[in-house]
Amino acid sequence: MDEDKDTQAQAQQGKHNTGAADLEKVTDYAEEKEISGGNLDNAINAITDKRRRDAEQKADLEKRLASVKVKKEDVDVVVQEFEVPRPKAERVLKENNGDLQAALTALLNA
Amino acid sequence: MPSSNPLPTQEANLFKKILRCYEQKQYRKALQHVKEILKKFPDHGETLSMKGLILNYTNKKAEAFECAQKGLKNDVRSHVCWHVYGLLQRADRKYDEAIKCYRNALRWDPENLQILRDLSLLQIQIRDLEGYRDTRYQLLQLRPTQRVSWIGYAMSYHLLNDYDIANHILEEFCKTQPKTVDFEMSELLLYQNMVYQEAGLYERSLKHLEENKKYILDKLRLEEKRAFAFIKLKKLSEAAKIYEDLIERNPDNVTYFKKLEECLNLENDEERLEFYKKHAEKYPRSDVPRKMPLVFLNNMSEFKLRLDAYLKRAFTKGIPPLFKELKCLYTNENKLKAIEEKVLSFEKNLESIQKYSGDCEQKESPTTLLWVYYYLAQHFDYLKQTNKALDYINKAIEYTPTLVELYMVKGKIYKHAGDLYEAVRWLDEAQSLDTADRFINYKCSKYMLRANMVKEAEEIASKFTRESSHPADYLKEMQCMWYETESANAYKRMGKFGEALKKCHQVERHFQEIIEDQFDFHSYCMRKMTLCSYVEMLRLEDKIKSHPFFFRAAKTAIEVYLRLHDRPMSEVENELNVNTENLTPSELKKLKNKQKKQQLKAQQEKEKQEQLEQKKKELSKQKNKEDVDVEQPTEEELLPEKLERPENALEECNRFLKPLEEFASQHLETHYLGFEVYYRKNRPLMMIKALKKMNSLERTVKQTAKFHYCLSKFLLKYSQIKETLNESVRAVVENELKNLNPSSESVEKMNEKFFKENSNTYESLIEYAKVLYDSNPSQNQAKALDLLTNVDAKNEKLSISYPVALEALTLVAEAEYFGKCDAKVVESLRSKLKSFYPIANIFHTTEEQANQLLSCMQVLSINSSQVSELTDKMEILMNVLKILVFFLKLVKFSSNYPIVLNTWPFTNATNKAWDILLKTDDPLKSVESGCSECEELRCDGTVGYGGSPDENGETTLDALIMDGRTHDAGSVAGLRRIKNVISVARAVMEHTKHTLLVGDLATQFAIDMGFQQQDLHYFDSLEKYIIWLNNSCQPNFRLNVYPDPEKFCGPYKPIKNLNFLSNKEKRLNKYVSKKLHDTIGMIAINSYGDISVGTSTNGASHKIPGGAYVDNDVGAACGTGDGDTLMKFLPSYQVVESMRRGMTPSEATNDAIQRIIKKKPHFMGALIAADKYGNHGASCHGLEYFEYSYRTNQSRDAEIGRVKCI
Repeated sequence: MDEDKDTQAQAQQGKHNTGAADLEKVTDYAEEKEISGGNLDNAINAITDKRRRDAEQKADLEKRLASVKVKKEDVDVVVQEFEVPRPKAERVLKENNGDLQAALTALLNA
Repeated sequence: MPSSNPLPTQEANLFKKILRCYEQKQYRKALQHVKEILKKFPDHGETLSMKGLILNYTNKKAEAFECAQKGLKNDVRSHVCWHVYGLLQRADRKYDEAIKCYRNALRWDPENLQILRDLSLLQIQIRDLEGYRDTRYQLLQLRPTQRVSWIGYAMSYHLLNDYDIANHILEEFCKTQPKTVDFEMSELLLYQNMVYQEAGLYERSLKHLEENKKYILDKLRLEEKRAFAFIKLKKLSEAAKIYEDLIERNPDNVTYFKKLEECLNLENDEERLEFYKKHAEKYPRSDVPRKMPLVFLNNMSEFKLRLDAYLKRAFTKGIPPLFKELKCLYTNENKLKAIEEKVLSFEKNLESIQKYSGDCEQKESPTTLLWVYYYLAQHFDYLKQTNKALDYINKAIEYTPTLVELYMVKGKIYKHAGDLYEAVRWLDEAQSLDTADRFINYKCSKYMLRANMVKEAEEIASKFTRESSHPADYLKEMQCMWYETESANAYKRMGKFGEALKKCHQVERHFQEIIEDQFDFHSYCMRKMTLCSYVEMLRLEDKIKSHPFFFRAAKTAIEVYLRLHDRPMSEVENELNVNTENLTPSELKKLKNKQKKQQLKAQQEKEKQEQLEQKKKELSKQKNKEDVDVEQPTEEELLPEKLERPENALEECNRFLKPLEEFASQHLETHYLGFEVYYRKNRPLMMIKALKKMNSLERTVKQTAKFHYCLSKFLLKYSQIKETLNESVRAVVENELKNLNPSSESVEKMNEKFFKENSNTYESLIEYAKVLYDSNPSQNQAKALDLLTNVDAKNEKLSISYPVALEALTLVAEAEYFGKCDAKVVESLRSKLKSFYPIANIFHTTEEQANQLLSCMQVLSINSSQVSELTDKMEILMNVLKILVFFLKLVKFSSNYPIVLNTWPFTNATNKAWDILLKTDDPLKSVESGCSECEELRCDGTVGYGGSPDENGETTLDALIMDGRTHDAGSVAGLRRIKNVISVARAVMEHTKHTLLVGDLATQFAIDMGFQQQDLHYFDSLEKYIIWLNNSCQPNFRLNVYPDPEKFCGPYKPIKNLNFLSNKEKRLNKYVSKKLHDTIGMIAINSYGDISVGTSTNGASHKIPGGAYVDNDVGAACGTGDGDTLMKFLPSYQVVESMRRGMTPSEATNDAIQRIIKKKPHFMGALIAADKYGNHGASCHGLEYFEYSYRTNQSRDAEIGRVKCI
C-alpha cells in the first residue's frame, strides 16, 4: 500500500516532468541483442591482420624511445619550467634524443 | 563462476537471485536475500560485496564501502569482489582506481563480459581511446554475435581518426546484416556515411547514400549530406538542385542560401541581387533573400532602394529585433549614414502625414511610428549619443506606456552610459509590467547584479525559483551559470573575494558535472543506435570548457586569485587601521563608526550565514535520503572565508587557467591572464609561450596595447633574472626574443615608440603609463598619473570607451598600480573621466553615488517602502486567481484542493467537514465542525464526551485548533463538563490572547463564552471506570510509586533511587493499544489553498492530546496516538518544516516518525500531513497499519487511505 502511494505520488510529479522518466531509463540494465549473420568470422579475420601491423609499429617506436637516456637534472628543469608531470617531461626529452634545449622548444611550441 | 569458497546449492541460487534483483533495481528484495545468506555464512566475500554494491545504490555510502572492503578481504581471488569494488570507486569518480580494480577482476576471470564492458565505459569516459580500442577488440572476439561489439570496435577506430579500419569494420559488418527499414538501420547507415565523409571519401559516400536511400529515414540529413558531398566533388549543378529543394523546405535557412550562391558561381553583385530578388518573389514570407542584399551591396543607390523596402516592411509589421538584424551593417560608415537618413525621414513624415513619404498611398497605423522611435533610440544608443537616444525612447514610452521592450531599451541606454542605478530602475519597471515573463525577470536580475545589488537581484530571481529552497541554491541546482558569474563579478567589485570565488568554483563544478553526466550515455546510445548524435556528444564534451560561460567564470576567478596573491586578505583588513594616520579627528570618528557598523554587520551576516549553512546541511541530508540512486560523491563545501585565504593563490589558478589555455587559446585574454600568473611565478618559458600565442593572434587596439605591456614586463623581469637561469632555458629565451623583439631595443625606447604610434587611444595610454611606471617607479609616478589625468575631453581624436575609463580608475584608485597616491589625484582623474561619461555613477563622488543608489532603491518594486502597493497588486492578482479557480471548478479540473483529511477512518467527520467546506469555503469552520461531529458521535469512544475516563472516573477533554491564514492557535486541555471542546479551543483562539487554557479555568472560560455545562459521563465511561477499578486500576500511567502501580490502586507515593529509564520503557509498553487513546486530527484546505488544522480527544484512557501544526505557505500536519510521546517531539511542526524543505507529505511524516522511534522504540501513533497543494500522506508506528480518511472533489464520499506502519 505504501509503495502504491509512492508510485502514485511519482506519477503525479511526473506529469510536469516527462523527461525524467526517459532519463531514468538511461541507467537501466539491458542485455544486448544477439544478431545473426553468416560471415562474422571472416570479417573478424580481415580486421585482425591490420591490427597486428599497427601494434608492431607502435612497439618499434617504444623500443627506440626506451633506448634514449636522459639526465635527471634535465627532467627537473622541464618539470619546473613547464609544470608538467615527470613522465611527460621524460617522454618529451626522449622524443628529442635527450636534448634539453630542443625539448624546451618543443614544449614552447606545443 | 569460480569462487574460492563456493556456496551450497540453495545459497548459490539465492546469490543468483541477488544478482537478478540488482539488475532490475529491486534493491530492497536483494538485501533480504543477502541477509538470508549472511545468516548462515557471515563471512562470505561475494555476498558481502554485493551487499556493499546495493547499499551504495540506496545511498549508504560509508557502509557500502565498508562492506565491499570486507568482502574483498574475505575473498581477494573473486572477480565479483574486485568488480564491485571497482564499481564503488567509479561511483565515487575515482576512475583510475576503478580501472585498476577492473583489471584485477579480469585477472581472475579474463573473459567476463560485464567487467570488460564496464572497463570499456570507463576508458571512453576518460578518453583512453587506445585502451578503449583494445577492450572493444576483446569484446568483439568474445561476442561477435552482438551488434554493439562491432559498432563499438569500429567507433574506437573512428575516434582515433583511423578511418580506413573503421570503414573496413563497418563494411564487413554491414555485409553480414540483412537490410531492414527501421530507425536503427537508418542510424547505422548515416553513421557509416559520417565516417566516409570525415575520411574524405565523398564518391563512396554518395554511392552509399544512393544505394541506401530507401533505408535512411532522416530525409533532411540525407539530402544535406548528399549536397555536401556534391560540393566537395565540385559537382555544383547537382548540389544546387538539392539546395533549391532544401530552401523550399525551409526558406529561412541562411546556410542553404549561402551554399546555393556558392554552387551557382554568382560572379558580381548584380547577379547576386538578381538571384535574391527571384527568391524574394518566390518566398514572400522569407526574410533571408531580402536581408542578404543589404549585407553585400556596395552600390549605394541600389542599397538605399533595398533598404527602403526592407525597413518599411519591418516597421509596418512591427518587428522588435529589427535593430539587432541590421546592426551588422553598422560597420560600414556609408550604410550607417543611409540608414539614419532613411529612418529619420520616416519619422518626420509619419509624424506629419502618417505616411512613410509623400508618394505613399497608404496611411500607416500609429504603431509604425512607435517602432520607428524604438529603432532610433537604439540607433543613437549605438552611436553613444545618449541624450538623443533617451529623447526617442521617452517619446516612444509616452506614445505607448505599456510596451515592455521600451523600458528595457531605456535601461540599456543608461547602462551603456554608465548609470547603472537608473538602468536597474527601468529594468525593474519593465519587469513589473510583466511579472510572468522570465526573460525580463532575468534581465532585471542581471542589471541589478551589474549594479552590485546582490540581494535585490536574488529577490527578483526568486520569483522564478522554487519556493521551498533558497533562490541561490535553486539556481545552483539548475546550473544557472549567468547568475553565478554575474554574482561573482559583483562580489569581486565589492571586495568580497571569497564569495566571488565560491560562485566561480560553482560554475567550474557545473562543467565538471556536465562532463560526468555523459557516463550513462556510453552504453545507452550504443544500445539505441543513436550513433551520429553520440559521436557529436563526445566531441562536444571534449571541448565543453571552451564555452563562453566557462571563460567568463574562469577569467573572474583568475583575476581574483591574482589580486589575492598581490594583496592577501589579512593584509587588506589591516589596511583599514593603518590608513588612519593622516585623518582629521572628525574623519577618524566617522571611520571608526563605519568600521564598527561594518563589524557588526559582518558579524550578523556571519551568524546568518551559519544558520543558512546549518539549514543547508540538514537539507542536503534529507535530500540524500530522498534520492535513492544518487551516485554523486559528496563534494567539499565551498566556504568563502577559506577560499579567500588560499595557501597558494597562483596554484589555485591552474584549475581555471589550464582549461582556458587548452580550449580558449583563440582569446588573447587567456594568454594575458596566463602571462600575469607566470610572471608572478617566475616562469620565463611559460611567459614566452603566452607572448608567442598573443603575437600569433590578430589583435585589436586594446589587445596590441596589452601585448606591448606584457612584452615590456617580460623584458624588465628578464633583465633581472637572466643570470640565475639554466643555460638551455636562457638559450631558448634568447632565441624566441629574436622574433618577439626583433630590434632588441630597450624597454624605454620601445615604450616611447609605442606611445608615438598609439597616442590617440586611451587604452594604449594606460599601458604606456604602466610600463613607464614599472621601468622606474620612484621617478615616473607623477608623470604616469599625469598622463592619465590630463586628457582633453574636447580632443575628438581621442576616444575613451566606458570600460576603458573604468579600468583606468580601478587601476589608480583600487588596484593602486601606481603605488599609493594622493587622494587629490584620484579625485581629479575621477572628475576628468566624468567629463566623458557625465552620468556614469562610478565617476561621481562617493556621496553622490550613495544618493543615486538610495533614490534607485526607493522606486524599486521590491523595496519595503512599496510593500503596500505591492500587496495591492497581489490582491488584484488574488482576485483574478479566485475567478480562475472558480472556472476551473466548473470544468471539473482535477486540482488537489479543496481537501479534508483526518486521522482514523472517521468518515462521518470527514463528510461533515467536507460539506461545510463546500458551503463556506472556510477551512477553520470545516475543521471545527468535523471535529465537533466526532465529539458528538463519540468516534471510537475516544473522542468527545463519555469517553476515556481519567483516574477519578471523569472524562476530560482536550482540543487544539490552528488557522493557517493568520497563524493563530487556540487549545484547551483537561476541560471538564463542556462537550464542544473544539469550539472552546476556537474560542480560546478568537477571544483570548492565550493559546492554551486548562482545567477548571478553561471550563469557567467556556461558560463565560456561552457554552453549556453538562455531565460528560456516559454509560460507556462509567462502565469502563468500574471495570478499571475492578481490575486493580490497570492499566494506569503511574511510574516509580508505591504501592506497585502495576498491581494496586492508589493513592500512590513516590519512590526514589529507582532505575528510572528501564522502568519507564517497560511501563509504556504495557498500554500500547489502539483503543485506549485516539485523537481525531483534521486538516482542511479550501479552494484558495488556505489551511486549517485541529485535533480533539478525551486523551488516553486514564491521558493528553496529540498535536497539530499548520503553516499556510507550506501545509499542515497533525498526530494521533501516544500523546505523551508526541509532545516530546513536536512531530507536527517537524513535518511541516520538512515539507517546507521539499519533502512530500509521506516523506515528511515518515521522517518525523523515524525521529521518534529512534528515541522511543515503543511509540504507538500516527501522523497525517497535507501540503499546500493538497497532496497528503501519513505514517505510523506501533500498529500494523493505519487508516485515515479524506475527501476531495474527485469523490462523492470520504475515502480511506491506508498505510503500512514502519
